[in-house]
Amino acid sequence: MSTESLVNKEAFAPEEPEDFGDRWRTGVRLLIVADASFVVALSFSFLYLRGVNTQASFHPGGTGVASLWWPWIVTAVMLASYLAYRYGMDVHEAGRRHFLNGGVVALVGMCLALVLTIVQMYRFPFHVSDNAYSSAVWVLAAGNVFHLLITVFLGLGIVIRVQRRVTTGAGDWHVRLVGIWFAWVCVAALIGALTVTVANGTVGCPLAKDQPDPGARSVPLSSCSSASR
Amino acid sequence: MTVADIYKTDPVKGGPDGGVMRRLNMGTGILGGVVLALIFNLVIKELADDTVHEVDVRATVTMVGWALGFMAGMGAFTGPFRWLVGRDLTHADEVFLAGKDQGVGRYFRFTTDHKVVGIQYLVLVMVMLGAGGTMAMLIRTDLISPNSGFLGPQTYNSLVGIHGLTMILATIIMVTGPFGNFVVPLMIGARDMAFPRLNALSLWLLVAMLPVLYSAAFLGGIPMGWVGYTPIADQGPAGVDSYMVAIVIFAISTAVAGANITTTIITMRARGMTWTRTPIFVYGVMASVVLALPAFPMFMAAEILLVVDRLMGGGFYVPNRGGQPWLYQNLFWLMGHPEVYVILIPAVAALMELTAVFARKPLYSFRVAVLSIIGIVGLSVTVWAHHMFASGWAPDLNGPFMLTTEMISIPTGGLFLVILGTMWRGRIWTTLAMMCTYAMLWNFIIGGITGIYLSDVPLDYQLHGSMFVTAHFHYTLMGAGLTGAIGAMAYWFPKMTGRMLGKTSGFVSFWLVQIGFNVTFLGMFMVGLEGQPRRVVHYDAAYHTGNTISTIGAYFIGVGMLVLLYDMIASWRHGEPAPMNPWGAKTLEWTVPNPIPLENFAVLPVVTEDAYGYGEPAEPGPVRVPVPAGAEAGPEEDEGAMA
Repeated sequence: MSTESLVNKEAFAPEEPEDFGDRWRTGVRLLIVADASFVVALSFSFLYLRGVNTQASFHPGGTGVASLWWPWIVTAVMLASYLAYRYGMDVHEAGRRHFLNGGVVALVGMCLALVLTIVQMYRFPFHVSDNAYSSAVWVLAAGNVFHLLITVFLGLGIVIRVQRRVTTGAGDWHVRLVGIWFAWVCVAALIGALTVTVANGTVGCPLAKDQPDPGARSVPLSSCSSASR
Repeated sequence: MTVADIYKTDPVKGGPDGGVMRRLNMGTGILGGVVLALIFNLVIKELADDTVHEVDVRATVTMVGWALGFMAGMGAFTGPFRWLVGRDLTHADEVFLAGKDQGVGRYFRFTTDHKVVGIQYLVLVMVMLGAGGTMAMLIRTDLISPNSGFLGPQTYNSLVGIHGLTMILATIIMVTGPFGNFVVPLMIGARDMAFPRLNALSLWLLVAMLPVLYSAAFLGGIPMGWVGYTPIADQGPAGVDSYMVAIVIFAISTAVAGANITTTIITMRARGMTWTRTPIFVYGVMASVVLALPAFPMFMAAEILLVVDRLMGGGFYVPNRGGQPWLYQNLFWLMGHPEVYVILIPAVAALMELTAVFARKPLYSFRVAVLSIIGIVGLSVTVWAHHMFASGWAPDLNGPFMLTTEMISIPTGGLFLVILGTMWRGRIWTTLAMMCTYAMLWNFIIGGITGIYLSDVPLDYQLHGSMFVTAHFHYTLMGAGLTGAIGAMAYWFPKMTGRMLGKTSGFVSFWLVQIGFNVTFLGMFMVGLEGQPRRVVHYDAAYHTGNTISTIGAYFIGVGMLVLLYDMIASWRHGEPAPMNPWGAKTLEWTVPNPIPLENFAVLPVVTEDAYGYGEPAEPGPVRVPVPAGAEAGPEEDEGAMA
């Protein structure tokens, strides 16, 4: 990520830091295309398995359905973090550290989203091995954890860099680049939340007695298949 | 003068020079990999002790530990870590990473110079092709008679899977890896790739992948073939874990390389190099990586879901838990068919590039060539389910998928016409590279037409899973793809090594390989049409003759490849020194001296005409004269134009 050290500030090379920034922006967008393909594949897997419902066992019952609150809360926290990041970019001034006003909040927000996602996974009213539904929900949440780990790494890096004045300037391309990633992980979280929500309408059976998740949804017994455990 | 001399660093922002980073190399990489693999293994042994999936968990976590440790030991994480703490690599560090004054040692380090990475890719591809080819010889030896007993069924099955996967992975990178890295930046007038460290990362990830892949041989093998179909993969031995981890590493490498190469081509072309002046090989490489960029994450997703199934008892592919093997097939072939064109397009584009040079004619209908490539890229993502006709998935879609598959032959035919039109009435200079063009045309016609047969639903029901299919895809991937890669190697060998490739042994190799290839796979078509299934160790005596013919042909290929290998090594070491532009070509890579300076161009070129102006009257104008590497660079306004 430190191509800035290669930037020519003198007359010979035609490249300015912003040229590097443009190049990195293209590269990051392409990597996001690859990542988006991965996210879409996970979402597709969920919807496909639910649609096919092989042997009526996508969610045959006996275990609960994941709460719909959690993914939306996590997504909301991530979106708020992104807005804080944008605020930091807007108030930033060259040579100053105003970005930190929003950047630190954004970093804390993404850390909170990470913790919430992990808590969500612990509180799932099922095990990953129960059925295709539980596996698919678990993998979507795990994908979010993976995204958030990268986001926290980048957020921490950009905060340290601005704090040390390594990265300066209102429109510094490092800051904008990390902002693109922040925006993308919010979209990815949104795709995950939508997938679970859209597909949740027809799945779900009575919760287990020791249901650990008070937010988990119960559905009428009549909608459960005969294969319910 | 180096790249880093030109792009001077801001000393205020850089961290301290040197440090442990400069002591890292392949040795420390292996050490780091082994140590972390052992640590991961011991830790997970405690955590996963006596669980149902203990063996798979331990195998997978150990392999992940190896890959992480190897990359850390190579220094792959140094840059990101220093970025994190705000102590960027310094100018001196960048010079070191570029491999300046490090001799042969730079080939065993995390070197960022695109030329070094290109050579590393070339060697890696040769190693993989050598390993896969050796397995092919063993397989063919076993099949020389119906019940030879040369290999046991288990070993045979495992060899077929590992051979297939090795060859597919090798052919995916065989053009875009060596030539996309070495040649493309030169061809577009750039000083390096857009992201040099990502370039090295993509290469060393593949090196880390190889031991993981081949560990499958010691962990029960890959019983489900290179496609890794479930539910066999769900039930397979720990060798399947090697398969999953290898694919995930490969997909990450491909994504990184794809983003890097695409960005380089889009943003770093020389001034004046408009899209209509961009060489066709650059289009071919870009099409390949752009196609791979969204395709391989699908494959990675399929393997991640398999990881959940195998290690955690997940239900993605297990029907009694609501899973569905068709899901795997869809995700796999969403990658799998575009992947055929990921292999073919750059290989054919390389042959188009060199055909114009050796026919001394402009490329016939450049626009048709570009449109054909775009057409293939677009259609290739709409054809995946023709691999699933016989699986019973969505029979109503068989017709549409048959149609799209047959339609793809139209832009593919466009590429044929461009090559034939370029050769038409040209005074052809018959070199080894040019002969590869002839061979590709012959082989790809057979591979392409048999592909149309297989896209036809009723015929596919008959031929699916037979040796006919095996012969078909070898005609496309080897007959066209590998032949194109050999042509590219013969064409750019002088620029990559500074030596001319030996002629006589090159021709001997060519004829041995091409005759052997056609004998092998025409024999395979024969037994496939008669009904011999693929991936079967013992076969009916009725297919004996065809199999014997195929095995004899395979030995010809093996000997021919050994001759080519000898030719490359001998020429590389003792070959005749190559002039700067031995073929009289007009693209930019031939305007730099041998050996190529670290910064490629002392003066960045300005392009004023297209790359294929052969036989056209020279336009008066500034001619770009190569400037010695150490010469002081002038301002951009003084730069000459491309000749």
